[in-house]
Amino acid sequence: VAKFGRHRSPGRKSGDGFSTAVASVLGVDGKPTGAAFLISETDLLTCAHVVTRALRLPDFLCAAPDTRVKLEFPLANPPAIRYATVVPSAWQPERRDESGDVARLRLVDHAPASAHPLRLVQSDQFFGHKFEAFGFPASTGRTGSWFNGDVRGNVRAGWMELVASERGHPIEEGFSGAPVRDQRTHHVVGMVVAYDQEREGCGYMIPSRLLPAVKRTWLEVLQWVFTAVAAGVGRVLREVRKHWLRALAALVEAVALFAVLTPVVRPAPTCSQPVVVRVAASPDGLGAYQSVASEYEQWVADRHNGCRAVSLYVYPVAPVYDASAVPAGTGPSGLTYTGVNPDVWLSGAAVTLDDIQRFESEAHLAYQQIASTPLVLAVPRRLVNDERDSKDRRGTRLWSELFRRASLSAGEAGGRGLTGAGWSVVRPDPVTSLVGRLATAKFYNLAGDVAQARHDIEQPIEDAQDAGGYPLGDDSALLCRQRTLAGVTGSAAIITTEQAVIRYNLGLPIGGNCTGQSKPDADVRLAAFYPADTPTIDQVVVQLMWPDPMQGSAVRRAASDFRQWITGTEGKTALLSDGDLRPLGYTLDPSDENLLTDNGALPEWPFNHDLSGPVPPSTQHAVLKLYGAAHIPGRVLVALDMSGSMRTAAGDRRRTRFQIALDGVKASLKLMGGDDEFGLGLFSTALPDGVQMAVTLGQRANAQDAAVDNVRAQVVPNGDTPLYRAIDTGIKTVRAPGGSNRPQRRAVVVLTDGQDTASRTLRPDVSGGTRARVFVVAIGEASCGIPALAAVTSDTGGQCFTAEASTVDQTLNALFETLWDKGDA
Amino acid sequence: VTSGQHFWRDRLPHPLWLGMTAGVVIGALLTLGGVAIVRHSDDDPLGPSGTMVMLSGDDDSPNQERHALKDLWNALYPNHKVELHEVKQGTRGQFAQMVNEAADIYNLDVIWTPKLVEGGYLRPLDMSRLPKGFLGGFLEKPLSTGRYRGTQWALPFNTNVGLMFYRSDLVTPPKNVKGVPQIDWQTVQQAARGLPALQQKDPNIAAAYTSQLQDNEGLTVNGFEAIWAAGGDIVDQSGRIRFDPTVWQAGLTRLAIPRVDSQGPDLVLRGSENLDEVLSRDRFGSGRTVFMRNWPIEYGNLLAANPKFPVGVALLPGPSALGGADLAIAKHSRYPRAAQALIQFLTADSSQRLLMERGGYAATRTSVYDDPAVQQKLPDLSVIKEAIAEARMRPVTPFYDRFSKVFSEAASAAIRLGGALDPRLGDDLTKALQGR
Repeated sequence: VAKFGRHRSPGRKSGDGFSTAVASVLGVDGKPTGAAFLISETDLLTCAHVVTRALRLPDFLCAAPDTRVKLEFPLANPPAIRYATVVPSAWQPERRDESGDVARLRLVDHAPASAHPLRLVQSDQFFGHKFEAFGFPASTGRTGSWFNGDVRGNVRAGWMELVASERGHPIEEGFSGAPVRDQRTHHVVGMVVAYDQEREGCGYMIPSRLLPAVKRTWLEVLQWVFTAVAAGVGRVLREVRKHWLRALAALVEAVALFAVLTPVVRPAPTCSQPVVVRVAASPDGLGAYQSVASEYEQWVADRHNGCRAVSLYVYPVAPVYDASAVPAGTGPSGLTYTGVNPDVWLSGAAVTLDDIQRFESEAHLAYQQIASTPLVLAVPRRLVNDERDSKDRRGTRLWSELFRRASLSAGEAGGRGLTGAGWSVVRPDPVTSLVGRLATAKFYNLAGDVAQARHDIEQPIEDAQDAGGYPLGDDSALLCRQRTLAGVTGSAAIITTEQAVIRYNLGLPIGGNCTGQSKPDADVRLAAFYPADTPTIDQVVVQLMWPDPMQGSAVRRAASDFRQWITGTEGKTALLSDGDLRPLGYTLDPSDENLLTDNGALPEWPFNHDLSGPVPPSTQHAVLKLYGAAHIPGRVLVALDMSGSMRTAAGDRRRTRFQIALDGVKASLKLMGGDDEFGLGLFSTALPDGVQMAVTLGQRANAQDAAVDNVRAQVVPNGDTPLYRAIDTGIKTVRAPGGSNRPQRRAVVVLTDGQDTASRTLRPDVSGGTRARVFVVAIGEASCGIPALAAVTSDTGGQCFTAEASTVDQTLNALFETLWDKGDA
Repeated sequence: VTSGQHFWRDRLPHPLWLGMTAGVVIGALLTLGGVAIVRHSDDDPLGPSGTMVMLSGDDDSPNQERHALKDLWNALYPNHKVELHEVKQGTRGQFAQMVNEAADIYNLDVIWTPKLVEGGYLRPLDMSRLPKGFLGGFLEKPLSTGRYRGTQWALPFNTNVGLMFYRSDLVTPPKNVKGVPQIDWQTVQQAARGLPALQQKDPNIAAAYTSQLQDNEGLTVNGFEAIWAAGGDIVDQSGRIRFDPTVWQAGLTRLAIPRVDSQGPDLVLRGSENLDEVLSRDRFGSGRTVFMRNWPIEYGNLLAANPKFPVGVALLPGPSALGGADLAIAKHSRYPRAAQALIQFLTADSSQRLLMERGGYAATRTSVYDDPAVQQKLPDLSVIKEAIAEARMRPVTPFYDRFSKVFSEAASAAIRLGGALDPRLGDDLTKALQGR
């Protein structure tokens, strides 16, 4: 569906009561961008896109424009120019499902004397009627032109189809916002909104029932009622005078019918309580899955007399990293830590089909792959040279070649026809992110040595991450950082999925704390490059069967029905339109292709190649092993809050926050590699300088475990919180040269349960020097929302996590999986 | 390598805390001892032995006092222990789990009582087992949340009302005719206009106001309160929708998120459309706004994070939505007597006093508000009591979840579009009340 047209159509009528109420909306160049029509003495109705185009604003503008709009009433007598403003409370921009696109304009001065408001009537009498509309196609300009034709059935978002009659004129550019009149009843039944690009002569209107209601004055209402009643009564009396016998019979019939039907006719019954199905969804796709779930609820309601027989509760479940299950995975028991037992799990990019098959031993489940999304290299548009790069986007290079091309400086020859692009590339962490792991499997030479992987792959990636301050996380975290960079130097190409690229370019929420925003500017949007050997991320729907009484039979049936729906036609349509995923076995139609093309993707993928098969678990193991040896070792200082509130009991109340945190720290020491360094500092005003080292920074030694045990046994938290002083001291400590001769990834991990109460004006100094990432784990009453904390974590390429005090050991474990070298390979 | 310094030391519990715990124990013993003396029908007046399961939302109080009470009960009644199963989800998530998991006691948000009754999940309370005058000790409005179709299905564990938190170093709230501090919208708007001056005192300040405007139950509550403050209503006494687009829009416009291209000063903090109770407390606690609407429990949480934070509480511009949690017995519980005894224990004066004093949960017993010791310790007590008296119930309907979802989706769109509402909202809400 498009908002503009192609055909020429001469005007043929002059001003009757209908067309005099129609005005053209003039753009800044004086040409009409569409029509508007009077619905009251002061207000006109039109499409939101007509207004935005007249003012040269983006189509999907959320807030109403506050600039005046110029109108012309060409068929008023005399023709008149007027100005109007947009009524903000009635502004409905077009939404992604193509609903909305309505604007109400209010005249700055009075309407032309010969222009009278049109009356909108809700009608379902379309069959056999002819309709007309008066608009301003580009070909006739400000003169105006008429459409003639039929109204057909409903299409998406409640729109109705308009089809030009054989001798009628098609809907063209400039008809948007034009009123559609029933030629038989002379009522306005809708407003033209779009034309069909593929089928000449076809267009769409928004029916009156979806347009804002027009309030009448009580005098107008009274007048209308009086006229109708008078006309009706007069007609009945005339008929009775002529045919009194037949009238009497009709009266008797009506009474009898009333008596029979009265017991039958009842108000609409109230529905029974819906079955509630718990749906756990991957956080990166939460918004998309909620939309898909709404479509399912509506689909069910349509089959139950409008009753919402099923209610889906869709909630985010972040994967709980399970170190004992490599590659990283989330089993059914790992989904219940929120206290909810999901009936359905939409896994997103968390796990592979292989992982899910392994879960079958843990719980009874049924699963089906529903869609997939390929891995891509997402390059900022401003770095893409279409002439040079368009071929490489279309599956002509392997991942290894594309990565090498990106790493070479611009124009540098790299052999085998490779010319450097001069991009830097960042990658999600292979240990905790499936996307990162699968991509790494494709550009590592697993037969090669550690030094090669370190020099050719890991060092350039580490440099790019440092230069742009990208966090060490999954692709959602990288894209979130990309949004804040917004084209600033340092922004890199990102290894991610096609789905994430589309959602990034649409300005939709990406996952985690990265909420939606307006569409990014063209030059900072991303273009997807598809390597020939790229793997796909499987999107799987998993139905979990819990024993009674954790799951009743009705819930199980409903969960099963949802699983079947999402793999059927309706579900697939919803997955593409709301989830930006490619459903399995689904053929793209032209509007689907537009969605992809407009948002950095290529609909033709996989370009007639055979799809790359799944990366087997054994390869993933090998990748992790090589990565562990090749990636940069960590030099990590843990700064632990020792203030009085850390004495608070948490979880089962057998341990304090302080003890749970220390248990997490100690467990993570087992993950240290040979070149990693670890230190532990405590901070509290009870300490002489506010900060004190409890374990000095150094490589793995048994003494570290004993020292942590000693702190756990002897220290009683006490005093206030000099948080910023601790961070500042921590940065200085990890920046000092370490014991390893290899480059090191330096980090300060701060664990706190409160705000800074004792650093006065001191703020951490992150400027200059070696990059030291600051990670904050906020528990209890601590907050990631404090500006100074948010700044110090994002500016250093670290992150702030909010964690439950009772499970902070798990959070620390997951973080150290990223930070530590697995240097035993 | 550890430091060799002896900067840590053991600390005995404070004498005040010891005294208070002893008081709770004695109070509980007296209360339940009474039950035991009156009932002689069985060997064990609490029925068969066994461990009960109580399904509850997260205990978000600073000291987890609900857990403390649970531990106390288990120590007193080892044959009738209770396990607390916490659902770490919002109101809607708690409900989704409650209707799918077997439990003996539900600690449920007050809005779910009709739905659980209609779904056949609850057993009515045995009024004959409650001590004489026990019900009369509750505040009337919180007690009424557990009543449906003339039957008392639940007792109020804690009540909840929205309060206006303000920066006590930056503003002094006016008092209403009853002498209770109340902040109206003019005061908030005035603060927004005067932001540059306030920023001289605290450069962190970015807007006048924040609240829970994320599209969930929090936004529903905020939307209701905004409409009530504008003079509108949600449903009438017969349960019909009172949709008045003009008034509803006037209310919601006050919560409108500033437009991207607007040049401030901002009334509502940008990004508030993504905030829930905890995140809005974070923003206010980190000094981003002058005012915040939130629940009483956040007062204690703010001070726990920063004991020196300058905060005061006042009444909202209009009535608050009445929140809180009710305790009810599951229909299929094998331990209904013990469950009711536990509910009685948790809602007794001594437990309620502890929950309010140390946990920040607004008590449901009048005696707590009349206690001079509590009044001295919690200076905002009069504000909370007045807010409860003025509070209004959300629509009492078994289809509240659908109703709230339709409303919050519309409100979410409205606050992003300057307050504009879909004209079909009234019809949609009417359908939602029928489960459509």
